[in-house]
Amino acid sequence: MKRIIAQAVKELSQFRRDRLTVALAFVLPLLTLLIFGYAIRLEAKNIPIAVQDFSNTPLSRRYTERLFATNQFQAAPLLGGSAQSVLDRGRARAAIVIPPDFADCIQRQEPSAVQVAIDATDVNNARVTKSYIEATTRFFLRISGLQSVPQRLQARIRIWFNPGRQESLYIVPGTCAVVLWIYPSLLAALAMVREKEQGTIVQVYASSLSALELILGKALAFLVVGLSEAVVIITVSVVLFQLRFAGDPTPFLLGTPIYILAAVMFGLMLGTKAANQTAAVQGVALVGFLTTLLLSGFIYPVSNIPFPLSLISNVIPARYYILIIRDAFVRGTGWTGVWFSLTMIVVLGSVLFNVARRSLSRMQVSD
Amino acid sequence: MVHHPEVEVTPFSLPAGSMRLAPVIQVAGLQKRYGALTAVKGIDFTVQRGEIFGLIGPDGAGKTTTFQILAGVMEASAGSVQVLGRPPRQARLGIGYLTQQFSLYLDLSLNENIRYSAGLREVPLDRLMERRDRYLKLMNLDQFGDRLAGQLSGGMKQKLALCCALIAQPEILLLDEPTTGVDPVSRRDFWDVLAALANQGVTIVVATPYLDEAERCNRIALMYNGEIQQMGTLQDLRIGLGLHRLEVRTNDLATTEQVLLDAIPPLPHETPPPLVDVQSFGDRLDILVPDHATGEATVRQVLQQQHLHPSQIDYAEATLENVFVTRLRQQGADPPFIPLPRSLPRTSRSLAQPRGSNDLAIQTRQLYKTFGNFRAVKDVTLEVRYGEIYGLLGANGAGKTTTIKMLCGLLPASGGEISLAGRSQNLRNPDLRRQIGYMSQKFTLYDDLSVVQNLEFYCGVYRVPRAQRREKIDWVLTICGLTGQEDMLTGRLPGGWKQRVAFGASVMHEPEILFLDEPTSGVDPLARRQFWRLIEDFARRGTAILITTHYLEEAEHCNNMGFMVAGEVVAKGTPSAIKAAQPGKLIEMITNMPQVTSDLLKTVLDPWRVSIFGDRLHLVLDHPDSDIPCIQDLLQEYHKPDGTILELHSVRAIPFSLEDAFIGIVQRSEQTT
Amino acid sequence: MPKLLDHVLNSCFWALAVKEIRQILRNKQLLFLLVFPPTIQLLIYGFALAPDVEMLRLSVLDYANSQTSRELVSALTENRLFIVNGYTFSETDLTQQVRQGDVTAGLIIPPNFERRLNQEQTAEVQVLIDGVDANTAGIASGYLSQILSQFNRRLSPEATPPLVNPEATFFYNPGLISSWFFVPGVIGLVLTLISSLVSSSAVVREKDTGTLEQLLMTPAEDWEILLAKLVPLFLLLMGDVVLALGVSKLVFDVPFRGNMIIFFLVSALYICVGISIGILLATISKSQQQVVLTSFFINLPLIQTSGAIAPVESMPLFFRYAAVLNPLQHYVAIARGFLLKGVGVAELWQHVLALALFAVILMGISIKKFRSQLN
Repeated sequence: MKRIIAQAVKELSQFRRDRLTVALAFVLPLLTLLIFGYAIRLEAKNIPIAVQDFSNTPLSRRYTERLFATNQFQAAPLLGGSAQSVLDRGRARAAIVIPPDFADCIQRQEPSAVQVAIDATDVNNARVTKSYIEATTRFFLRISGLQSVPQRLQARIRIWFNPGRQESLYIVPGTCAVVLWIYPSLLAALAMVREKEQGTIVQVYASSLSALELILGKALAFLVVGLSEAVVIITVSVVLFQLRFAGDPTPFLLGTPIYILAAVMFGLMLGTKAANQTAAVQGVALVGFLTTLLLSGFIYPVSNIPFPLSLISNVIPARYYILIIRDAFVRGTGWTGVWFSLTMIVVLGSVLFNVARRSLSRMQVSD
Repeated sequence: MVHHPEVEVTPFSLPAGSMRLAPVIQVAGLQKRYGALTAVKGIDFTVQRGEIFGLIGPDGAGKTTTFQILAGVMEASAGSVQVLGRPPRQARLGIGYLTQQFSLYLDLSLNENIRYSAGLREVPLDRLMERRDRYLKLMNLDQFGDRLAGQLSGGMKQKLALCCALIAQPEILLLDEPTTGVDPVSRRDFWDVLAALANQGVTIVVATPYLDEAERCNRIALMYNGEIQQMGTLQDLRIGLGLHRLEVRTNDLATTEQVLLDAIPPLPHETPPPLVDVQSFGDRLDILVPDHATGEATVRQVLQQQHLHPSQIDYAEATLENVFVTRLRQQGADPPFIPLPRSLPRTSRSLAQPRGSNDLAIQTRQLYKTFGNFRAVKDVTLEVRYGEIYGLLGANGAGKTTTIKMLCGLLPASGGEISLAGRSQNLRNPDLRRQIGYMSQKFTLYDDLSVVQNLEFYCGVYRVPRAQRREKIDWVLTICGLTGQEDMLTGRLPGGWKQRVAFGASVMHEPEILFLDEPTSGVDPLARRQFWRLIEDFARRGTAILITTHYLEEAEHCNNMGFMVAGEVVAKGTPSAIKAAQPGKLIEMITNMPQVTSDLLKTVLDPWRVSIFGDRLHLVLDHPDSDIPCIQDLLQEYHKPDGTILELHSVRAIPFSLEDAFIGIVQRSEQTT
Repeated sequence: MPKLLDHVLNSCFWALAVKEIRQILRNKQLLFLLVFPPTIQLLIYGFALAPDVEMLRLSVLDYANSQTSRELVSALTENRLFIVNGYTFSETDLTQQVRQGDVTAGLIIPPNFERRLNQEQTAEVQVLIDGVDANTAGIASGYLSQILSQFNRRLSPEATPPLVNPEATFFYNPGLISSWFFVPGVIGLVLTLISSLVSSSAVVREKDTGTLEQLLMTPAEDWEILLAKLVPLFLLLMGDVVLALGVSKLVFDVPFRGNMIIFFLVSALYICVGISIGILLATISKSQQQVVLTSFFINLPLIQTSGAIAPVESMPLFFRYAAVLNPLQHYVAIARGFLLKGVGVAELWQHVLALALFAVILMGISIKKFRSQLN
């Protein structure tokens, strides 16, 4: 135990001395949190839309006004070009062409076809745009008294947990999970590989420190660092993004140290495998970012991940921690909802720990 | 004053039944293979408690591998190793191990480094504090506790590493070239500490490229090619060699050496010829002869024929270096001396730059360099002529490297004038750089390229004509003994070999001015001799050479030298002028207990005035006539608790060596500042 | 001609270039870095980032259990937008399922459903949507209202068809294949990461191992040293562009509709930007490790605000303006233009111009910094 603490104390002194890694540990997570929290919006607002009104009647102008009545769309100038060229230049995401006989048709109670050209390079927003235009059109018809269909069936839609559909409530907890995986593991990997690279590991080999003690010592140090990161970014999330505990916080309070520990184990494991610091950083960054950003359900639901990749996503601890942290801050079901996730993190963390320990177990200079 | 620690030796619990006299290290049939390469080919040795056991040998002899196995950080391929009566891995708590690289965390402070080492070995806090204070004091590091290890000089780093190893009070210290790149003053301190520790029962196994240090070992093993060639006390090795030594001093060292070498019949010898070997050593020639009297007669006769007159011939015993060099020469390990195949005709160079004896290649006036508040170099004025070897000497951190970097144009000077090959402006001009060769302190080869690729690169970048490249590259490979292995990755070469290749790479373009910053650091004695012959060959052909070195006996090869202390040149001149300018007298003293004598003398004299050279002591006395009787009285009064008496075998005045001069100059100027 | 050849072969630059190429060939890590991460990133981004909102799990509590209620459920599921995860019989079960996120939406059809419809009254169904994922929730609720309004129409066959009928056409990506959106973005992302990393480590490595000092003492000029380092890397990075385009064509069948040659030229510009960022990183760092760590501080914000993953248009105003200063954003826009839209410089000239400016300015600054550091 004493030796584990001695190891941890040394790691922390080294960490404290290196301003760059301190910045890496605290500035970058904050930066990531702020960018993701403020900038990443999957759903577009103010989509630029160009309207080519060949009808140019009071009715067609009312239709146009209705389209831009909410902040969903924003008028983009047509600049004399065709609908296609506006999209080509990327000035608008959609172009609506109102035919010359628009008002006439409607007066005759005949359907008028409005051409909507949508730039589908951004698939998600193309879909959203289409659905909004359709909904707005229905709404236009109804309030203009042009809709004759009686409302026989009505749905009362209630959106739970996040009635205002603030995306930050979805993105911010996920970002915390990403950040708390990547940075502690990066620091741990660096600390491990640095000893190898600078040859100081030979001193450790020469003392009778066991692989277990070495790993636990380093893990303890970076658990401390990781927990302080967690405190910082959760505090910032609470202050800036109005995160509040939605229910029983104990699964989260217990899960966070375990998750950070798993991250540290992952870093240590890569550190023991990597030949030098550059390789270690590359490994952690590549594997860490790809898995936590893409295979964890951080951006799009896990269920959308196609087959072989979905298997990998099952062994990504971040995937489970995201469930825990979203439960703590948004959903609020408590233990009943997340016990399985917590168990999975424990299992995956111990697997990582064992791999790291095994690759160090000889504690000797390799030939 | 040297502090005399009362070290309580708490023996690491010995297995039941083992006696105190049982050897603490037992190695039998030890082998280590790396793939196809066998680094250690079955060695046997034992080390007793309290012994200092030296492991010497050229680079790549297998010393580091042996250390790693002894320290329990590497598995042996075959053979048995017992340390403290058990396999090394189980004995690790009783072992302190210093690796070749500094085994420190450079981003931690002294105290943090020590605390971590102690923590790894579970030293209780009170013991830790007490030992830390004691050892830091012993190493003269006590005022630097909060300084980062990375900010210490090389010598201080190694002393700190030793402190860290000692904090758990190991019974065995394994030291793998701990003093490489460390200046003579610090090295001497370091060895005094080792001697004190050994006196207290710590067993020490040490490797070193400095053979004068190795003479302070109780027993020495000479390793070559993965095998122990010879082992024993210094005396045993001398007897084994069966040769005596003549010290010949003369005005014309180089010619005399060549003449005497020519008089030796080629190897192998059936019976020893009257002259077995000639080695130049500082300002003298060491001639190994089977018998003093016949040897002297032969030398005089050979020299007479060439009309050479030695100024002095003394009888002496063979040194460890003599043993080493002779043994390795017998093994055929002597790297050949071949002059660089030249392509630039000397005449064209002379035409381009007509020069007389006063032609200055390098000249500085009041050169100045400050880093922030720190004055790294102040007021350095020096002149180096074409064909001259100028030695810049000084302790670590005295400003030598900074000076060289300014001369090369790598660092801008804060003040003063520099003129290089007649230019005082634009030192970074490519044409000028083509005339300059530079070998920096760090290894300067690309580790990820093969040896031949490195050489091809330097040929190309210095624009050696393509027709001559093959010849020059072959030359480097030959002098390095790497012919046939040119496709080896440079990173795999042992340090000393890399230095040789780096030297070759920096001179292939036949520079007119050559800067060599510690070129021989970590290079074995044989290769160092070859280095110097090459350097002298360059000088003879008109190259101006500025060199720094920590081997002061090498510095005798310099035509002129400057001693730097704290950024200033405090003494300059020819080696003989510098030695002659030393105040006081140098007294050589031989006793049966050199370490005890040294400790005793240091209680009455300034510590720097007393130094151990192998089995003898050198004393610098300002008033020998009055001081010697006092010293004799002091020594006579001493006897060990077991009744052993200190015997004084001889006391005589000898000429100053450069090393003595160096230590004297450094210490005196440090005292005045 | 032979004379010129001889001149080249004898130059410092040639020696330096040969050395760099040999080092690159020896550097397994570098070659690995150039091939493996780009491929993996393209594959995972392309496959795993799937914003397609369909097959949303729906739990149904049908108190009415009538003909019409069953028709309603099948209307919801007929386009596979929703799939029925299961039928429950208690409201507690249903809310629990939504609460725990087992289903995305829960539909409650009241017992009086059929009766009210028959009485020509408005029947009301309740829908609970899991709003944790705001994006999915929004789309789900949009789908629901659309399906319900169609269902309404079916219930009143006598009503006139809607008078305004928006006929949406999806341009460039009619199949709405999400990988087509991400792949061009990831090509830009990968080029940023790789080019800054390899160039910075090539420059800093000499500093790290101490060989730079030796190199500076040779007659080689600064520009020769730098150019010899960058030219082979530049070529390798162009190879990465080919690799990335190959993967996107072969694996994701992303179209290439623009002019290939011009796209390569623009990519070359962008690689110059990446390389300059790398050199800048190297000049402010002392060691390889510092470079890699410092690169995080530059590359992460660069990527996150570039629109490679999340569209720039959806960002708040500040970030949209900041994106003008982000070279990656311009490159991603260009890549999407060339690959998907099939447009050229005529349409994208603003982005191309911006990229050229970045390349010139950053190259200038980085070379200047590198040289001043040498002296």
